[in-house]
Amino acid sequence: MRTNLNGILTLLLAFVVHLSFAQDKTISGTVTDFDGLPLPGVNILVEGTATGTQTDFDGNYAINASEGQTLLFSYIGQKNVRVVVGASNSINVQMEEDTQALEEVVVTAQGIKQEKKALGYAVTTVSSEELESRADTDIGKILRGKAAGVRITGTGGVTGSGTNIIIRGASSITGNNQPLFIVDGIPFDASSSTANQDASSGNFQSGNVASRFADLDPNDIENVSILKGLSATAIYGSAGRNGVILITTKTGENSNKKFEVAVNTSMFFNDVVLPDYQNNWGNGFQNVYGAFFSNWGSNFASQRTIPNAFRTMMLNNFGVEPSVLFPDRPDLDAPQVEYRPYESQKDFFRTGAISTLSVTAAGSFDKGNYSVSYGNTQDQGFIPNNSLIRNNFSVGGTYKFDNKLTVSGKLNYVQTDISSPFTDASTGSDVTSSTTGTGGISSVWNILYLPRSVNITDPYQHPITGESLWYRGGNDRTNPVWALYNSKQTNNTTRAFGAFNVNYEINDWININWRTTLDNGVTFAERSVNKGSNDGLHPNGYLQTTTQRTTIWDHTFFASINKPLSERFGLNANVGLTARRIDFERQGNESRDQIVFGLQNHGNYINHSPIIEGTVFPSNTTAYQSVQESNNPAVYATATVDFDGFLFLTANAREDWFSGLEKENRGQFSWGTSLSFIPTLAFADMRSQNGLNYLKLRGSYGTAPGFPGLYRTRNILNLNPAGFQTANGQTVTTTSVDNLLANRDLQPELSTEIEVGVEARAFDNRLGIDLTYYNRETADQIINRPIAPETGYTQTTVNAGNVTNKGIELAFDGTPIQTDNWTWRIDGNYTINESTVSGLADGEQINIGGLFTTPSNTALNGQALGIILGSAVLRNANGDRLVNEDGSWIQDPENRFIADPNPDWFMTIGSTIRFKSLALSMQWEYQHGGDIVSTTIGAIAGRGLSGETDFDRTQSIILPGVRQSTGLPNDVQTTATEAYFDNIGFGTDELTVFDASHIRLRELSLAYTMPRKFLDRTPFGSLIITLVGQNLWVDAYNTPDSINFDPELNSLGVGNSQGLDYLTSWNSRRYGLNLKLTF
Amino acid sequence: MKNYSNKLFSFILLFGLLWSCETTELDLVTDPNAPSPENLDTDFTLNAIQLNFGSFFENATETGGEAVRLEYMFDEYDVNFNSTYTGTTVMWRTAYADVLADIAVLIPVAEESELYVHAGIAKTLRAYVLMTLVDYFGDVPYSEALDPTNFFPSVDSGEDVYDAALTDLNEALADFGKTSTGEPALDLFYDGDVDNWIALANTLKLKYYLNLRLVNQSDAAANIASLIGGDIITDASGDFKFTYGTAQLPLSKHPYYIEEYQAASPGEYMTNYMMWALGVEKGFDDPRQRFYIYRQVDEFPTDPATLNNEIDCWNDPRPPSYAPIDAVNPVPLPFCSLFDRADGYWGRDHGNADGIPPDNNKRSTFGPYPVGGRYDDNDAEGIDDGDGLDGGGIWPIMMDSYVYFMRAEAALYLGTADDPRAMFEQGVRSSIETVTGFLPTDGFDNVPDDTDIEAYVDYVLALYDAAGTADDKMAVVGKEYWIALFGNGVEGYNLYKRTGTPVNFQPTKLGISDFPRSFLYPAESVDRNLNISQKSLTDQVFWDTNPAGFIY
Repeated sequence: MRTNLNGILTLLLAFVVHLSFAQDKTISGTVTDFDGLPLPGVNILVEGTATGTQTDFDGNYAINASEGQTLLFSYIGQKNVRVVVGASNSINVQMEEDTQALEEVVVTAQGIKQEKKALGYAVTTVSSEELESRADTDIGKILRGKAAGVRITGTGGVTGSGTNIIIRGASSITGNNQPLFIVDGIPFDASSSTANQDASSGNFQSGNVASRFADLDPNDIENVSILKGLSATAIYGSAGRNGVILITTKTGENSNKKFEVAVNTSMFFNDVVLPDYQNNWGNGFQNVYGAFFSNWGSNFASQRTIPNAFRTMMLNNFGVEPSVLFPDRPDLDAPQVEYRPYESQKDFFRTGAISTLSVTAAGSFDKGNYSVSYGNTQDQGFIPNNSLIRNNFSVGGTYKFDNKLTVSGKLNYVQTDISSPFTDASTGSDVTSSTTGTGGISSVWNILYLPRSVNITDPYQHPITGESLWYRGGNDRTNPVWALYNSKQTNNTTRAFGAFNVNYEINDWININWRTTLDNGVTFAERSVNKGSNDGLHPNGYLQTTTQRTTIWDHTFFASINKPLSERFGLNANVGLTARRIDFERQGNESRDQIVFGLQNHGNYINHSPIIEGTVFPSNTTAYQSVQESNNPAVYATATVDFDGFLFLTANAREDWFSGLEKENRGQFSWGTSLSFIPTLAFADMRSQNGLNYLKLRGSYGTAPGFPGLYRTRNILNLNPAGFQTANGQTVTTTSVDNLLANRDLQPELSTEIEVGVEARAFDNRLGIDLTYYNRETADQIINRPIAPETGYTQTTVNAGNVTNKGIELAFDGTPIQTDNWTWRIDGNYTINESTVSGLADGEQINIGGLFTTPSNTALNGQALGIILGSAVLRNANGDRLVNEDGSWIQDPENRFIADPNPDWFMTIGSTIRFKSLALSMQWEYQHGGDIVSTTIGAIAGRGLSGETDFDRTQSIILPGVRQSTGLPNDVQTTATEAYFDNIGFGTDELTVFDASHIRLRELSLAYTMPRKFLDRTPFGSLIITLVGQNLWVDAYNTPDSINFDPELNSLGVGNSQGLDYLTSWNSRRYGLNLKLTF
Repeated sequence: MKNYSNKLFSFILLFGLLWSCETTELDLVTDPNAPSPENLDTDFTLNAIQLNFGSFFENATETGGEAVRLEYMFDEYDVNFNSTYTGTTVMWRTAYADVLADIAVLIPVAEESELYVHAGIAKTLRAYVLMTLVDYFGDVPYSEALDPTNFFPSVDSGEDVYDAALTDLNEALADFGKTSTGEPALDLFYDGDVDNWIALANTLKLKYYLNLRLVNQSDAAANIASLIGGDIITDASGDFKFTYGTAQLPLSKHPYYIEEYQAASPGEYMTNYMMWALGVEKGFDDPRQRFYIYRQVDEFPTDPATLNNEIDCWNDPRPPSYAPIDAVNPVPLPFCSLFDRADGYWGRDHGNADGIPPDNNKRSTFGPYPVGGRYDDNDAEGIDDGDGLDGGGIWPIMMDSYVYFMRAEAALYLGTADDPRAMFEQGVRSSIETVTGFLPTDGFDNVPDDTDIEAYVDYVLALYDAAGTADDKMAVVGKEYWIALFGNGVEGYNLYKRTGTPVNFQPTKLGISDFPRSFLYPAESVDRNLNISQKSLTDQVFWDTNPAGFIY
C-alpha cells in the first residue's frame, strides 16, 4: 500500500512540470465498486497532466479537466478505468475487480502486507471466496486441496474430529510437524487437545480428539496466507518452522464502505457413504449359521429361518422370555425368526443436519475502521448424538489518533461444544476389551462389521437395569446402539483470544509497534459410559472429567523502516523483540461403579480417583494433574532492499532462547536470505500483452530453530502414592527410576532449506504458473528415541537423525474462455515430495506412531519417513508366499516394512464456469500412491460382509503360494471362511495393505449472484445463493470396490502417524444450500 | 522531537514492564510435576522392586505356561512366540527397565546406609530375574546393561549371567547375616522375616544347581547335597509367593482374576490337556481339580448347529500330529474338547488357532488357586466380578512342594542323600495341602476329603513304584510336579526342557513348528539395540544339553 502510494506520488511529481492550458471545468462524481458500494481513496488522474485527486470517504471526487481529456481511475485490486471527459460535468464510475492483478498484495509474516513480487519465496493465498459458504465447518478441512505442498488428512468423518496438516512433508521424526496458526497476529493454539483420554486406551481415543482450530468460524475469515518455506516463516522462529497458516479475519480494515452488514447462512446435510454389503450370506462360520460376530454363515436361500438369537440371549442371561421385559413385543418370543439380510448399518446412522449463520458488520470512517461479528454453527454428525455447536463473537477496530498514534484491537470469544458417543479406534475385533487392556471401548464403529442377518432394531437396552442387550448368547458385547445413547465424549471449550496493537509513526519512514496478544482456552472434557455396557473395562460405569487451560501470551515490539535510499534503491526493514509464553495446566478426576443408572455425576459413583488410573493394570498409574510453562524470547531483524522495483534482496536473522533447555544450550541463531527478480519489469521488451506478461524468478535460503518438548533435560523420580493395596489393607507407595532418560546435553535443532521458484503469467493473464522446488533438511534433530530396555530406560531424547524433504510445488491457472457472458477458469496445484531419513545408527528403527508394535510408522535410514513396519507373510527365496498344512499363509517371524504411506504425488484441479450470474465450480483431487493399512477393509472383508465375498463359499479355496512342507505350488484346500477370516481378517498386517491412490470430487457448487438491477429497490447490496456439496465422490480404485473406502484418513489423530486405519472414520458427504447477502 | 522521544520512552518502558515479569524467565528446566531423583526413598523403592517383580513373574509364567500347556496357546509356537509376543516383551522390559534398574540404584544406597536386609532382598530378587532371563533367552545383556551412556549393550553368555546370579545369592546370604540399621517398612513377600529370605536364597541356589546338572553333574550333586542339609524352604510358611489383595482402588486383585472375572468374563481358555490330566488320565478326579478349574456349564451342546457355532472342531478328524503320542499313550489324549467327560470342562487344544466363538459364558476358567477365583461346586453358573476369593490369589513362585519335587529329581539323577520316593510323596502332599487351602468359604458340597487325597497319593505312589528306570520314575515325578506347577510356567518350562517331562503332552494341531528351547529376543530390543541380533526358537540355553527336538 505504502509503496504504491509512493509510486503515485512520484508519478505526480514527474508531471508537475507540465502545465495545463486547457479549458477546465469541474467534473465530479462517485466511484463505486462492483457491488455498487462507494470506494474511498481511488486515484483519479487526468491523463497527460499532473492533475490528480482521490475520492473521499463516500467515494466522491471532484477534479478539474477539460473536454476530450481522459480521466484514469486506479485503485489497488481493481481494473483501471479510463473515461473521456464529455459534455457532462458528472462522471460516475463503477470499477471492476481485477482478479489477476499483477501487483498482488499478500499478507506475510507478522501480518505485513507486501507486494507479492517482492517475495523471494512461495506464498499461497486462499481468499474468503474459497473458504466461506462451505459445508465443512472446520477451517483445517476446508483447506484440503487448496494449496500445493500442503497435505491435510482428517481423522475421519466424525464431526469435531481432528485434522492433520503437514506442509512440505514431515521434517521432524518424533517432534511436532503441525504448522503454526496465526490469527490476526495472534499465535493461536491449534494443537489437538489431549484431554479426556484414559491411560489404558489413550491411543485408541486419539482419533476423537479435536484440533483446536475448530474454534474458528471459516465464514469470518477474510483470507488465509500459507507460508511454507523457512524464508517465509523466519520471523516466527521455532514455532513457524513447520509452516505458518496466517489467517486474517474480516476486520473491516480493507472495507471501502462506510458500513456493511454481511450475512451468510446455510443449511447442509451430512450423509454417510456405507460399504455395499453382500446380501446372500448371513451370520455364522464355515457356511453354517451361528450367532457369531462374523458373516461366514449359510446362504440366505438355504434356510428360511434361524433360531431367535435375541430370545436365546434373554433366556440365557435373564431367564425370561423377551416379552416379559418388552410386553408390547410378543413377536420377540418367537423361537425362530426369518433368516434374511437387514440394512442395519443404514438404520444405525442418520443424516446429520448442519446449519451455519454468520453475521459480520464492518465499516470504516476517516480515522479507522471497526467490525463486529457473530457466527453460529450447528454441525450434526451422521452418527446419532455426534455434534459440534459453536458460537463465535468478535469485536475489533482501529483508530488513528491525530498524533500519529494508531491503536487497534480485536477480541474474539468462542464457545465450542463437541459431543459424540465413543468413536474410538477399533481393531475390527475389539468388540470388548482385550486382555492386554488396550481395547477400543464400545466403539460405535463395530456396527460396520455387524453380520447381515442381525437386526439392529431389536431392543438394545434392558428396560429395568438399563444394561446393553444384543444378539450374542452370552450378551457379552456392547450393542453399538446402546453405546450411542449411553456412552459420551464431550469437549466443551471456552476460548478468548485477542490482540492489542499500538503503532506510532515516528516520521514518514519509521514506525514503531507494540503488540500484545493473548490466547486463552479452557476445555472441559467428559468421557463417560453408563453401567451395563458388558464392556470389559467399564462394566459398572465410568466417568472421567478433565479440565485444561492453555494460555499463550505473545509480546512483540518492533520498528519498521521504509525508506527510499536513492532514486532506484529502497529499503524496507523490520527489527523487533518478541517474547512468547505458554502456560498449560490440567487436572482430572475419574470415578467407577455407577450407583443410579444414567446419571453422570461423580456424586453418583462409588469409587473415585484424582488421577488417571490404569483400569486394568494396577501399576498403570500416572498423575494426571500437570502444569507446564515455557518461555521463548527472541530478537530478530529482517531487511529488504529493492532495486527499481524489479530486484528484491531480503535478509533476516533471529536469535531465540528457549526455557526448556539447559543454560549453555538455550540459544539458537537462525538466518535466511532471499532474492526476487522480475525480468519482465527489468526488460520491458520481454513483456507483451498476448505473450509473456510477467515473469519472476526467486530463490531463498532459510534456517529455523527447533526446540524439544518440556522437561527433557532433568531426570525425575517416578512416584506412585498407591500402586497397590495388600491383602491386609496396607497401601503400597513406590518410587522408582523413571523410564525416560533425561539428556542434559540436549541441543536445539536447526532446519535449513533452499527454495527456488518461478512465477509467470502469459497470454493476457489467461495463463499463470507458480513453480517451486525446495530442499529442506533437519539434521541432528531432537528425537524422542526409544532405547532398548536393557539400558535401564525405554526412551530418551537425543540429537540424532536427519530428514530431508525435497519436492516440487506447482500452482497453475488458466482461463480458456473469457467472453462477456462466459468465463471458464481452471486452476489447480500439484505436489510431489520425497522424504529421506538418514543419520540414525544403521539398522536402528525409531517407532514414530502406531497403536501397537506392528503395524507402526518407523524411521529408518535410507527410507521415507514413516514407512510402516508390520507382520508379513513368510516367503521363500523366490518371493512366493509360503502356506502351511492348514492351507493358510505362514507368518514371517520377522516383521517387515510392508507399506509406505507417503503419496508419490497429489494434485488438485478446480474449474469454474461462469455464465452471466451463474457460476459452476468444482474441485477435483487426485492422490497417486501412498499405502494404507486398512483394518476397515480387513474387518469387512475378513468377516465376510463385503460385496467381493459374495461368491460360492461352498467351494474350497487354495491360497496362491508354495506349500512349505513340499516346496511345491500350494495344493492344500481351505474353506472360504478360513481363507478370509484367518488370513485377511486376522492374518498378517501385510494382507491389509492397500494402495491409497484415489480420485475425489471435493467440491461442487452452483452459485447464482442476483444481478444488481434486481436489488436496486431492496436493502440488499448483494445476494448470492449457492448449492454446494463436499466430498461427493471418492474412488480409491485399488481398494475393494464394495467397501467404498475413503483413504484420506489417519485413525490415530493429529500427530506423526500416517497410513493407519482403525475403522474410526467413515466416508461422509455434505451438501446443501448457502445464502450470502450484504446490506 | 522531544515529544517523540518521551512517547517512545514510555512506550518501551510499558512494554518492558509487562515483558520482564515472567515472559523472559528462562530457568524452567525442572519438571514441576514430579519429584527429582534425590527424593529416592529406600523403602518405597524396595516396594517398587517387589511389585514389579510380581509383574515380571506374571509375564514369565504366562510365556512358559503357554509353551508347556499350563495355559492356552493360540496357534503354533512360531506364530505365538514371535518377536512381538507380549509375554516376552513385557517380561524383558519389566526385568531391565524396572526391576533391575531400580535394584541397581537401591543396592549402593542401601549398603551405604547399612540397610543390609534391603540389599539382601534386592540381590535375591535380582538373582531370580537373571536366572529366568537366561532360562528364557540364553545369552542376555548384563555387564554392559543398565548404563545410561551405552544404548547398545552387548549380550553376555548365559553362563556368565548365571554366575552373576550365584554371586548375588551368596552376597545376599552374607547381607542377611549382617546387622542392619533398619528393616524394610514393608515386605510384600515375607513380611520382613529374614529367615524366610535366607531359606529362599538357599532354595534358589538349589534350583540353580539343578538346572546346571546337565552341564556339570558333579558340581550340581555336591552343592545340592550340602544345600538340602541346610536352611531351605521346607514347608508352606516358607513359600515364596506374591499375594494379591482384593482392593478395587488401587486395583490390587490377581491380574488373571481381573482379566477373567472382571474384564472379559472370561477371556482365556483352559487347556484341554490340563483338564484331561486332572480329570481323565488317572480315571478319577484330582483333588485339586475344582480349585484349578471352574466350570460355567456342566454339559456340552449336542446338536450339530450349536457345536458348529461353539466348538467348531467337534467333527474334525484327529490330526496326524497326534499319531506318535497316540501310539504309546495308554489313555487317548484329548482332541478338540473333553466330550467323553461330558460335564462341561470347556477348554481348547494346545495351539488351536480357530476364531473365537461366542462361548464366553460356557468356557471353563480359573478357580480359587492360584488366581483367587470361584470354587467349582457344580453350580454351573456364569462368573462375575466379586466371585470366589475376589481376586485375592497368589503367584506361586517357589512353593515348598516344588522344592520336594526338585529334590526328588536330584535324588534320582544325582544320587543325593534324599529318598526320591519320599520327596515325591511330600511334593504331592504339600501341593494338595496348599491348593485345598484356597477354599473361599465353608459350606461347599463337593470338596475332596482326606480319603480322596489319600487315594490320590496312593495312586501316584503306585505309578512311581511301577516305574523302572530313573527316567520312568522321573516321568511320574515330572507329571505330578507339572500338575503342582499350575500357575508357575517358569519352573514348568525349565522342567520340560531339563527332563522332557511330562512325557505325553498334547501336540499342536499341525505339529510343524519346533518347541521353543529359548524365546526370541523382543523386537523392541532387537530393533533398538544394534548389538543384539535375533536368535532362533531352537537355540538351546547353555545348561540345556538335551538333544535337539527331544521335546515337542
